Amino acid sequence: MGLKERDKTDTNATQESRDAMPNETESQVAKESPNPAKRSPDMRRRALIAGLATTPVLLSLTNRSALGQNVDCSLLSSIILGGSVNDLPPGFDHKNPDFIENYYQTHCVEGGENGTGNATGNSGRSGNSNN
Amino acid sequence: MKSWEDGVVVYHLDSGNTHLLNPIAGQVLKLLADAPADATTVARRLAGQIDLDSDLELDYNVASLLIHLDSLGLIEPVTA
Amino acid sequence: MKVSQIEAGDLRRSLSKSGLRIRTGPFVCHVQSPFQNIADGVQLFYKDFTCESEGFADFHLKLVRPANLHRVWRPQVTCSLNDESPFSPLPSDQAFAVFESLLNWSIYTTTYNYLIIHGATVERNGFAAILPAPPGSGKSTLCAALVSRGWRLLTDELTLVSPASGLISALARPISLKNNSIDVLQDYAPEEVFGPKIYNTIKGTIAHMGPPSESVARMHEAAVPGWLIFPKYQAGASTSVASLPKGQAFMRLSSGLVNYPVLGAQGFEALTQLIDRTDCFNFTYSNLDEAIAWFGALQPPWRDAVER
Repeated sequence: MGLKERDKTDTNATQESRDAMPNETESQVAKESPNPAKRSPDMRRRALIAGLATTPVLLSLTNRSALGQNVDCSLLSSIILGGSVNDLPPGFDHKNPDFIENYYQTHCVEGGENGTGNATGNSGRSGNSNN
Repeated sequence: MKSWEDGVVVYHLDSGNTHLLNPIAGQVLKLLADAPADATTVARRLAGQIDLDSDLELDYNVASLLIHLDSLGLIEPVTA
Repeated sequence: MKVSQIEAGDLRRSLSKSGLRIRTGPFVCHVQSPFQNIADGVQLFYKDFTCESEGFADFHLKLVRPANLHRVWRPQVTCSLNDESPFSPLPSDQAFAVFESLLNWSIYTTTYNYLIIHGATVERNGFAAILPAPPGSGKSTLCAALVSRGWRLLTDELTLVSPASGLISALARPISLKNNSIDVLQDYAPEEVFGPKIYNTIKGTIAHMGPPSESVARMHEAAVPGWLIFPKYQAGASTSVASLPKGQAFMRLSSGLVNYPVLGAQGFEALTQLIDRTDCFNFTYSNLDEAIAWFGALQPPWRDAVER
């Protein structure tokens, strides 16, 4: 639709270790004895070890968006007041001043323009302490 | 963290990443969320949930899993 | 006042000058445009919507002629959202399609108090069926067919889930059909209201199907999520359904969400609640009658809980 270049949120889903799904062994065990509670101790142990040995992550959604970064609100306010965007953490690549201000208003100001009232969201969740 | 029959979804606050873990890895994560523990203790608790005794092989596999979860940033060592 | 209560000439003049403020679901959209095809589209598809000539608006949309040669030669439409131009100019005969896209873009990029799923949602007997799908999956075709057979239209493109309540808000805007699906729907549901075909867009040929008056009248009724159904149109395929485990459904849905990264942990919680409340399926179809029948036979996800 003739879209101009614009920073967009970007997420990337990756799929890991489908070949090593623990369900293969577990389903084999299930065929032998459908009720897990009635499986022999050896079968239960085999299933447990198979589950532990398999790569734990089945699917991942990697957040590459700057909007997913828990950016310190005081850092944002200092940028709005004239600080350098280079102080933003890696990955927060929205250098558009209007965007930064909108983001600050939405996430750092109580009763922000989108009405989220999400004043504590960032500082509460991020653990981005300046201590 | 949320459990379903095919696994556990977990949201990592610092990175904003979301993972679907296999049910057993998810169970380990929940055990650690309840209380920090070493690999031997986790292995014993896991085994106990299905009326088994723990052993060195289970300890070893749990320890490997914990290393993997640590590399993802989902757990971290705690000092005594 | 409803759009239908404004005489056609007055409508065009209002749009050209101070603009019109149209309420769609939780939003008020202020649109200004001199184009006749936009006035025609608003009159046809938004006739049941309420509008005002002044007051607060969430979005300010302008669709105007560019201040260059393309004002008259190979006429174009240029658009802006809150005085920023997200799109390049396009042929002016596509102006109504541009308006619809611009309004979608407005909601996508400025709304942070809803989880936004790219997909259609329809409702019947109190439960909503969410159809998340990328372009080309046939979701709009399926959505239009369901609506023509009595399902309430909440949305064709943007499903808004409240993180606080878990309910889905309705927009009840026109359904956008593309290419072959236009003729398919016109044959399948000739009694519905269709707009003119718009040719040579980036998506091919587009036409819109109007929202039923009842869907617009019930626009302010939020819906309880009941089913999450990932549709896929496959020519010649028999109707097939597979239950989708909830963990996989979560990951599949989250990877397609527009503003999941923005909402962070709140979005994660909202999504887990949504998946918890719904039965999840992969759905492949080629025959609309069979598809409609399958949807008609869906049981509420809470049926077992209620019957205990």
